[in-house]
Amino acid sequence: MKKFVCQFGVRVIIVIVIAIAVDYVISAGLRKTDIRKYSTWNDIYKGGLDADLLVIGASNAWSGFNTYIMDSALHLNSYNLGFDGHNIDYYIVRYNTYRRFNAKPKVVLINTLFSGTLDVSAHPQYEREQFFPFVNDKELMSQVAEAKNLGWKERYLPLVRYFGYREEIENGVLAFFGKKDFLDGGMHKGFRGNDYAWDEETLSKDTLISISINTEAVLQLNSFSKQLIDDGIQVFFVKSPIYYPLRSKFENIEQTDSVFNAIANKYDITILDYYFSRISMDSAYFYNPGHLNIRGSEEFTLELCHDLDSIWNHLRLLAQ
Amino acid sequence: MVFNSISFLLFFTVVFFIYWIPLKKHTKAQNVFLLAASYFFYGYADWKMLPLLIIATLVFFYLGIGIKRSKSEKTASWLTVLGVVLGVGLLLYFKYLDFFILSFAHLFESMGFQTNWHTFNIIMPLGVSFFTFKLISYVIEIHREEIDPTNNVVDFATYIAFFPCILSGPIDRPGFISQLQQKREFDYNQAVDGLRQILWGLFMKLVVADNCAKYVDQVFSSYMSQSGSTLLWAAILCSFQMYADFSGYSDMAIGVGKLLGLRITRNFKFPFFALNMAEFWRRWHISLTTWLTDYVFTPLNFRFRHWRKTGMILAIVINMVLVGLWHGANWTYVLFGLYHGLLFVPLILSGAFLKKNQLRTNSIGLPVLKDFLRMLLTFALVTFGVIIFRAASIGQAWEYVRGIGDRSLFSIPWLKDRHFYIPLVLSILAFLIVEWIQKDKEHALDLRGIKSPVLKNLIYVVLIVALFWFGGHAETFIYFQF
Repeated sequence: MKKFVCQFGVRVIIVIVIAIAVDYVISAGLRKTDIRKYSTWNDIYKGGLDADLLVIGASNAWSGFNTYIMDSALHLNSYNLGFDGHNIDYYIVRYNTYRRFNAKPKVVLINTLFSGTLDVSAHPQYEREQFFPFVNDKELMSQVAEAKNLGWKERYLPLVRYFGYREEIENGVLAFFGKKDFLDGGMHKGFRGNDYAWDEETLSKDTLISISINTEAVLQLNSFSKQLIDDGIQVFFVKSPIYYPLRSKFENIEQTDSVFNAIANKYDITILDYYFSRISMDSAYFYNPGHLNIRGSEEFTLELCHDLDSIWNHLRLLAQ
Repeated sequence: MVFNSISFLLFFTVVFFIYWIPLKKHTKAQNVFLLAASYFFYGYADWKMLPLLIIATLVFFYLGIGIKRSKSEKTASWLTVLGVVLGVGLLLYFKYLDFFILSFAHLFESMGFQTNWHTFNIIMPLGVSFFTFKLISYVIEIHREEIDPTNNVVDFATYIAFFPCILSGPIDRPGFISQLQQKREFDYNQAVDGLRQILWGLFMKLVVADNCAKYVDQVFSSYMSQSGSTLLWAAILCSFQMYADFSGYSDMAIGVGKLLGLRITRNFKFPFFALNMAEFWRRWHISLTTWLTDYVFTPLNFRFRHWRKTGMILAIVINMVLVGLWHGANWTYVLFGLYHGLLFVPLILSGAFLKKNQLRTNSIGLPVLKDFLRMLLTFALVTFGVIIFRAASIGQAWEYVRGIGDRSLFSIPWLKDRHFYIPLVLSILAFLIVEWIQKDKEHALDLRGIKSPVLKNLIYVVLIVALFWFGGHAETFIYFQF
């Protein structure tokens, strides 16, 4: 028994030491990459982004608010915190993490499209691996745990967290050893223009889509808006374009509008609505009914910048 | 709490040390502890059904004593019949009642009768197919005077609920109880062998089965739009998945048993090297097939003996249909069993059914061409059966087979990406090569013949790296549903 325990124990210790080392290599490697899932987190943790304008939202924000154009058209430093596949609870987690390492923005655009802003995460497991390289950040982890994403295995067991994530293992190791040539996720300050083929699957379904309105999420959006306003940040709610036939698929869009309107009225937040813009009428600007393609993001962002500029000019005139 | 989970690792570490350190010299205390651990394990998975397991155990324990103490053969027979009826009744109620109601309702409706029958939405207890077979064999073997009933309820309950086997087998026979009654000494070599078997089971489950599953699930869920070659490739992978998943679980269960100083019955004997279907079933899910052979096929064959080969065919077809039906309440399982039963017909008629085959190898240790072709044919027949087994309905199985026969059979199959299929194919080749080399051993990672510690450690490292690098992370096993 003693011999067995000793021999087995020695092997287990060796495996644990190797596991810690390999975990370190993978995590450090992923923290260096520009892969879509990690790019924004890596930028945030590096610090010094110090954006004047921040975009907050889900995949529609990430692929729709073009940071190249915002920088050049508005002559300011913008950053897109769009969080693919996640909801308001995670937007807040990302924003709070951003603020720990970066200066306060002057303007925040909250993309209120779809249900993400009025629901807590429906798919908390989606791309959860993006948090693995940051498990040592206790503050982030406490917020992520609250949002019911990572369990104790992922948080505390080295290497076990990467079990089954072959792509992360390979990319992490390669990135750690400097082989980064294929790791460019095409991200620019949190934005990535997508040029996928048009897919109208959502439209072909006969059923109506009910947007979930979760009380907890509404409270979170409310307190988040208040937090930003109290911080002296100018906040806009933006209803970015969706291909117009999709709008008729939502059975309770008026109800969601009333929630946004109530919060906007409460904190004097301007709503910029592009649901009926010319972009929304043309499928050439979309890769699916809910997401703008690269051309759509350019057109939409130009229009948005023009509107923001007009508002700011107007405010300047009023101030004079 | 499956074997490939951290929670099981913690659970078993605690069990192992308590079992072998403070309780080492106290066999009875070890058994009480094993029983408590087994009930905890079962309750952790399905606590609502734990009372059922306990009550069924107590009923059969006293039935066993009653059969032995019966003053007349008639009473003993009645008690045995009662035990069999109770055991089968448990299965029928929890596993098949809804199926029978629906099937009869459909039948009557197709004949023009109106029915408003409804199902009961009965929740099936985990492992019910496994523990009821243990309960039934206990009373039958007592009645046949092959064993004496135990007077120790803890030993009996531990045999029924023994945690490595309760959820997915192997189905040990009552002879296992005698192991529980003997004093157990820690055996270093047996424990090391158990760990190796667990390591191999993990490799089979996490690397082979879980990776096959990713492809198979995708193709079976979209089979209507897949090419014939893709459907064929998915069916082949499904055979490997089924085997790797279930044999991987069995290896882990047997390995855990060895670490506790207990021998669990072997469940697989490298079935893909079988030269015909009869031999395949002597190598596949051995604990189930021998159970049914002893309690169904042999008595039926004896009863039908006057009909000679026809009687034997009838007995084997009934036996195989029961094998199929054992897996679940679906007509696909019935068809699966019938298909396998019919595959025995040419073997019985030609006399090859009972003939033991010896694999012949050439000078470099590979199978001779004729045997290789026979193995391939057997594998093809098994794979065809797997399509029926895996399909959600007979209609789907038929559409799937028709899809394979499509002209696109000769196109290049969809393989996902190279990051997926290269490791997958390599892992399948690796397990087939290892099994071929080890085909005369007790299990694939039986390294007792290797003297070099460097080579042994190298094998461990390769397997652990493969587990980590290519391992999937599914936390369930196919046979849990049965």
